Amino acid sequence: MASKTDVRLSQLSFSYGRTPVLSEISLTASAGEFLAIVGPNGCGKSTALKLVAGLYRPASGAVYIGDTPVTGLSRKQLAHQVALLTQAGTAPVNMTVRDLIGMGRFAHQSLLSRRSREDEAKIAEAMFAMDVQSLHDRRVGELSGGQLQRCRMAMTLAQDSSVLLLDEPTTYLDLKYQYGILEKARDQARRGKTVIAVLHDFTQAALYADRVAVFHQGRLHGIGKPDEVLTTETVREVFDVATFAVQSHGITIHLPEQARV
Amino acid sequence: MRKQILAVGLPIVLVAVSLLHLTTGQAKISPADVVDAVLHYDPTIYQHVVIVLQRITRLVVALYCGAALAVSGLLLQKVMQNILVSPSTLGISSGASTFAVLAILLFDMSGGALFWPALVGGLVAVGLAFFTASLLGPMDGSKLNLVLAGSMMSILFSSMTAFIISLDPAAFDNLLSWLVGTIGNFDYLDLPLMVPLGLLSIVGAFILSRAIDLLLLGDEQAAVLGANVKLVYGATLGIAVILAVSAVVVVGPIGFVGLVVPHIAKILFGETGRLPLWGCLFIGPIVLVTADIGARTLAAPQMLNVGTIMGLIGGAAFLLIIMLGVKRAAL
Repeated sequence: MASKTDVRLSQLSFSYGRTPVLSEISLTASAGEFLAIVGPNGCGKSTALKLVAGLYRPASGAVYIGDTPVTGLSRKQLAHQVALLTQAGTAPVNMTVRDLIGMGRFAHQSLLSRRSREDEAKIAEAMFAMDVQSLHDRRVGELSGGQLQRCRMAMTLAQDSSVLLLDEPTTYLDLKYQYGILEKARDQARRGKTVIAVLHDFTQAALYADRVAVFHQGRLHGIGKPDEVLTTETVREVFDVATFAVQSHGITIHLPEQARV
Repeated sequence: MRKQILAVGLPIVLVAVSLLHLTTGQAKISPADVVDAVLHYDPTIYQHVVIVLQRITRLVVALYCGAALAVSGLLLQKVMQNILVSPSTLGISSGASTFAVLAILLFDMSGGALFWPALVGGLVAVGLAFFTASLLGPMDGSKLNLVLAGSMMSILFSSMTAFIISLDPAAFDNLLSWLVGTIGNFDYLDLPLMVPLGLLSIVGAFILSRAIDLLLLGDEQAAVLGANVKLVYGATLGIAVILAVSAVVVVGPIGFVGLVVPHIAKILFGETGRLPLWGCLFIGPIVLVTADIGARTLAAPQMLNVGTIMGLIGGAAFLLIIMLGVKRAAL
């Protein structure tokens, strides 16, 4: 297991050209924590994850992995620390599942080395964790959407980083696989990883996340435990939707007012 | 099974077609004479002179150029994530030809020295293709804009070559077959100028292969997994251009080797890893040596250009591969 690492966003701002996307976001996700980011479309949730993953450079402010700014790390050093399951993942249809998951080990190998025993062990561990061992020799083109997403998640786990970023990991998945992936993400947090996931579903965020950060118009609207943050007032302000809250199994579920008969 | 094909099957086929290549031609020479000429060369024996000074040279050229074009095509298809890409479709071959012809006209250059202007031509063509593609809009996953821009560059540079030749047709009389693609025009003494660079490039391709594979997952996912995406793109394109140009200078802009062979290698050895690269190193030479045998025998005693044979066989093979792919996808 990789070392435990906090992720800190400090006064983080970012723009696409002249369009501001994120403004002065400051928050910390601690090792062992599952932090969900929620917010309406275009509020900068995915951009924040990409800044943590070093895919973009901040316009101002910084992202720290532990005590090190992301911009001070090489791609390989960063890959040891941060894994990201991107939203729109592709893979060649003829690639085997084993090869796909094996790609998670790239940062741990030199350019000329073969897969080490540790690589093989981590790949096997990731396949077991996502329950895709039986698919190992299948080609990507033969997989369903849910199977492919589980395999991509296994690839991300094989990377064995201390920070796990998930960008809408449950989109397009059947309910069973949605909860399967979120359970696995929470399990990773319990093992000491820092897990940050962009989620659309409040119920999922309330069920699985330790804390929730609400983004609105590129700013941090609020952050805290799900019950503290996901209130009917917040939902109205941020999403412009009137909801009523229902308590069930210790969590708050938001249902739209207009759905009341 | 794949490794057995690679380690045993392909080397056997390569040795067989190479022997057939050496024994085939206007002068029929037996395999025993071929072996004798190689092991006990005697310049007073006609068959020995033909084998050592003509056919082995021709064979070495076909072996090298087949491998270089095939590996170049595989690298381009991977980094562009498009199965229709090859040195020809990206304009590299045409750009190299134009600058080579220009160097002949302006500086009276010849032989291996043409590699440098041709390399500049190949890089200019790729650079212009990228620039044009960027004007067409943001690059999508399949880099389709780049393929279209490359095809445009290919037509543009081919027209420029025709224009340059039309300025002084007599000066290029003996180069017309080279422009179609031929083996035999090139003085083999110039080959050592390029082969070390080509071999270094092939070694570079093997070193980079794992990073190149990551690009198949998309630029962002590749970066997050630890690849320096821009560096990998740049280095791979550079290697692919060097390999393609080194072949084009020797045999001319032969099409389809760089398009069809990578597909065969991927069908036999899969999409990722070093096996498809090894496959191209064997299958490329097998295809080009076989095409050269065809060029020398199909209309004997008339000698055809190997570029013509490759165009005919390669075009048909490519159609077949596409049709099989469509059929497989439909199942």
